[in-house]
Amino acid sequence: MILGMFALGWIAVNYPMSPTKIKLFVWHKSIGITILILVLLRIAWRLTDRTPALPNHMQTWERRLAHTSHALMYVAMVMMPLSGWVINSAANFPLRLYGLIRLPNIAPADKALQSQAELVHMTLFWILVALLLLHIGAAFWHHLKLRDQILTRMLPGTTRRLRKAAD
Amino acid sequence: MSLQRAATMLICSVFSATAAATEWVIDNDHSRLGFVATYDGVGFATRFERFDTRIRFDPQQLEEGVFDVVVDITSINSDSADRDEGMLGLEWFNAKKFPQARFVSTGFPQARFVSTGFRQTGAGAFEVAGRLTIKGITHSILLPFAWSGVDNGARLKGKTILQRTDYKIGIGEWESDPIIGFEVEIVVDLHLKGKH
Repeated sequence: MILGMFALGWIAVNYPMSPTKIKLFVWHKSIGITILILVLLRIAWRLTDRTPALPNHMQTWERRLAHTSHALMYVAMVMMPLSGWVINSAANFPLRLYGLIRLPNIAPADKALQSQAELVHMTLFWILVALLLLHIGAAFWHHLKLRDQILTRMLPGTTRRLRKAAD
Repeated sequence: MSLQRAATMLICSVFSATAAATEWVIDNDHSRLGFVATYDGVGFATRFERFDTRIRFDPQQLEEGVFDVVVDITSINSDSADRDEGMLGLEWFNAKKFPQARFVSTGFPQARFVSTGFRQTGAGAFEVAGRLTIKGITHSILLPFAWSGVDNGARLKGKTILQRTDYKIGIGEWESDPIIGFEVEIVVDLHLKGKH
């Protein structure tokens, strides 16, 4: 979903002004707000449910890096749609979720604010790209080099299997 | 342009010779002239910051009435710098080529068009038939409006719906794509003072 948004956002920005460009943005905005909702649900889940412990063989610095990068990914995933919402509000464009639900503006119409929010949105894009590369790289590192359960346990149903095996 | 201006001056002099219905000057600080269009089905209000009016109107002497309004298209303001810039572009108002939209009521003798003039439609309710030219394209339109006397002046409030495509506003793909709605509501709210 996020990778799709990277592509959609990139194409929409560079597309020549046309009805298609507006529609690309309409989709980009709708999906962005959807991701915001999903990420907030995910954070609520993460805060209430217990998180599987990291493998015992990991060094302190590895654990710190993992926790920090996870936290930063959550921050980036929340800030990304929020900054987009600010861009849209400051540009004073209307926002409708999938053409159905009207959402309010969260910032005043202001060209300077719009430019700042665009810079934030773009910077977050690169930060999120870097974090995702680190995340995916680390997952494969664990799977292929360290041969632990980190990658496979992320797959759906694994927790149930692991819990069953422990019983 | 100079020909047009000369013609307007000529008409004005013809008018000043006739018995006067009340001439009104506009209170720019409180008057609004603009439109509501839609983007992805959601309305956005746009106003013009600069426009000139020549308004002669007396509810008792409708045949004497004159509305002559010239709008400076480049003064467009929808509280969105990006959108304003877009609307002035080639495919929309093409402001470089057509900086002014002109609405001349058909009671104005200069107008070469078939007229129905002003008409009372109810208590304080009127309708003016006129020719609206935007981007060099002229169409007859009807603008219903409410006229009310307020202390030492008058207020004119009117609304009408136009099809933007009639004036080639939004050409190319925009012509057939409803993402920017075809219907545009013209909104006029003028505060007027008697001319002395």
